[in-house]
Amino acid sequence: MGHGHDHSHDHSHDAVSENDLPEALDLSVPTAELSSSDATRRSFLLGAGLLGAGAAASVLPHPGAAAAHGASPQTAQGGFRWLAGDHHIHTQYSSDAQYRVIDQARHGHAYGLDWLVITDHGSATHAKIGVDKVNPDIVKTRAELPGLLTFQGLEWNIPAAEHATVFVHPGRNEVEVLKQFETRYDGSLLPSTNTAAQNEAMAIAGIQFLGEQVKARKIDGALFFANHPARRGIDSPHEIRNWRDADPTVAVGFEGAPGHQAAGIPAPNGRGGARGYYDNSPSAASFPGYPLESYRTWGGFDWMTATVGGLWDSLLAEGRAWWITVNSDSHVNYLDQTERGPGSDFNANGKYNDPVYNGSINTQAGDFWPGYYGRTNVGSASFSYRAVMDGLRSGRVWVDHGRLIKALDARVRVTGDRRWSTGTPLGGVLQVRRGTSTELVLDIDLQDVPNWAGFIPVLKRVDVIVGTVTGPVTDRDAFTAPDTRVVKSFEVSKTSGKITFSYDLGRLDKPFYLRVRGTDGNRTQPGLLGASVDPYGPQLDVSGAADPWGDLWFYTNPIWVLPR
Amino acid sequence: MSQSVATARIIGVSLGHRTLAEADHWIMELTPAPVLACTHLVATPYPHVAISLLTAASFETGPELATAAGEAAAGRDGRAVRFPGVERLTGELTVSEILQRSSISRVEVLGGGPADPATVVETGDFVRPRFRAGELVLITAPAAGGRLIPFETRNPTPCCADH
Repeated sequence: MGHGHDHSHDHSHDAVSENDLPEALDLSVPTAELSSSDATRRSFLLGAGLLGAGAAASVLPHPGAAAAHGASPQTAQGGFRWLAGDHHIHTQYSSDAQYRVIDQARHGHAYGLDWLVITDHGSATHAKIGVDKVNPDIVKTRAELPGLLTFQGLEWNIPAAEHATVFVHPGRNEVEVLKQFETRYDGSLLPSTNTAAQNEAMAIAGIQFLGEQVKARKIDGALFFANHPARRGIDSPHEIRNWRDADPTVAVGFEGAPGHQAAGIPAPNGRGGARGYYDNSPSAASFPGYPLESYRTWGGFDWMTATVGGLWDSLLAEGRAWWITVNSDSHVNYLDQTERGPGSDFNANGKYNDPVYNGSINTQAGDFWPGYYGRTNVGSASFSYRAVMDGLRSGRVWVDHGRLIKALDARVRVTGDRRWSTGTPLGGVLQVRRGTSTELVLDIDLQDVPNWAGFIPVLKRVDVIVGTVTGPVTDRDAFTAPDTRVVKSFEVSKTSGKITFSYDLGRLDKPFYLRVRGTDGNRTQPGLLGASVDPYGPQLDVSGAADPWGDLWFYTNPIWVLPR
Repeated sequence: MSQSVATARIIGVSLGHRTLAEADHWIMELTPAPVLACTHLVATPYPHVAISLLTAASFETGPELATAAGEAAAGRDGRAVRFPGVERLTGELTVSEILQRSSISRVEVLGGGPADPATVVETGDFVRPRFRAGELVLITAPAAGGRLIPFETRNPTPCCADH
């Protein structure tokens, strides 16, 4: 149905469609029909490259949107400020963690983060006590560390599925909205008699609830990222698609790599477990189609992201905008010397007492401090909460482990266009006439300062991964993209300075997307779908012998090139 | 005993176990031990673990789980808890020793194809091969020291910790 602009339509229907987007974000509303402030906002967002793929479930034109799309190709310029962050961090308000907010924030900031999200576990205790009590700590941290953007969120038990980061823009109602959300929708608080179908519906309703709070202007933004998606095989492909469709302004991605990256450090110096704590087997709640390979990490990354032509690519090949991140999932940190405060009563107080120094060295902890190992780098228009959320929503994001590289700028542009200010950035959609030649231009600043393990990482190989956009799938549980493969591997011989690659993407005949991946080259093997798809893919991590510093990768989010 | 063997057949049982550990525990308590006992993940009427047994004994399944029991009886992709030779798969064994000592016919490395016969597998006294095309296959994963471990490791909290 057409989108009325007289606000006479009601919003009471259950399924949120693109019609429920804020009008400034909804490309199906002609600019002429927007209020002048909305039109200004849209034009600002378009100009900054902040609007496009991230604002709709699909990058493909939808009925009624063709004119708007045609009129507004994504040719946003570069020059973003890349802000490093972590959206998955626990504190003493989680029953399995221990640190103060300020402990996590100060370490994260010292280790180079510009933004982070406090995500304590959803639970009866947290909903009743913790979600309120953590807020003053967060507010105080914002004041004490003005150079760090500290978001409040929570780790949602997605009904029928894994955990997810949910967070909101700071503001007057941040606690109220989070508390309402948790109380109504946390999987741990739903009746155990619910069927899987009922729980899946609650997950969708929860995401929609967040979007409604934004539309009602109670909060200025809300985002959802599915955490450790393949860990237990319980995030089925159709659930992931459903989350995205529930509200594409809220549900925008999943962790490309889980936290807990120290868990595989060999004994006796480390825990000697599985990297990411990925050591599960299929259960009755698991999606039966997932292979055993999906339950382990590959080069530290989740199988859904690490497999070229796998689940993530199947979403991108649909034209479905879906982004990846990395994070610490910090609960208790490797080599830390504190423990939970004595005399704690978590159930009564909603928190553990402040941690105390205990003089021992915790080699059994599986986590790193925020910022110590993984970074989610967000291209932001400014240093602000809104800009980080907009950058995340737009997929203008690349991630790395162990500071493999210093900086990255990837753009797709019409071949031969040498103006520095042109090109479609990560997460964007370039629309050109059929037959137009395009190229990927990749600028990478090689690392020149030691990482937190004390060495300067060396980038050895960069892979360009391309897939045809084949449109919406008929089977919503599909998780392969048969046409996606590594089309080019650049061997890197330079060890310092800046490298610039350009890769000819050819004349456009059918819609496609590309994404970029790089590695230190220490551990590679043919990908799970064969050497012809991915000759130098990540290796399966070795249980009990996964030194995270000896196996570093970066991944970018995709850029689409579509015929106009 | 010989009478039991003569009448043994594959049956399906479903007691609504929510976890593999619960189903394993129930299987391990059976006396006499069945020659073959497998778990099967079923989705209806709710996600749970059903069981198939090669046994002469009979077990009751409630009417609401009868379909699940039937699925288990017909299931070709079971995860084996009891199988010939399982009691001899303890400690550290080479791949070829595993093949000699038990009815496991293949040992594979996750994402890597067949395991080298000389490689040592740290069984952890917990070996749960899976049926694939009528064969029992043990999937392993690389571990420290160039060794292998079974893909499925015993739950950090053993299923029988409370007993």
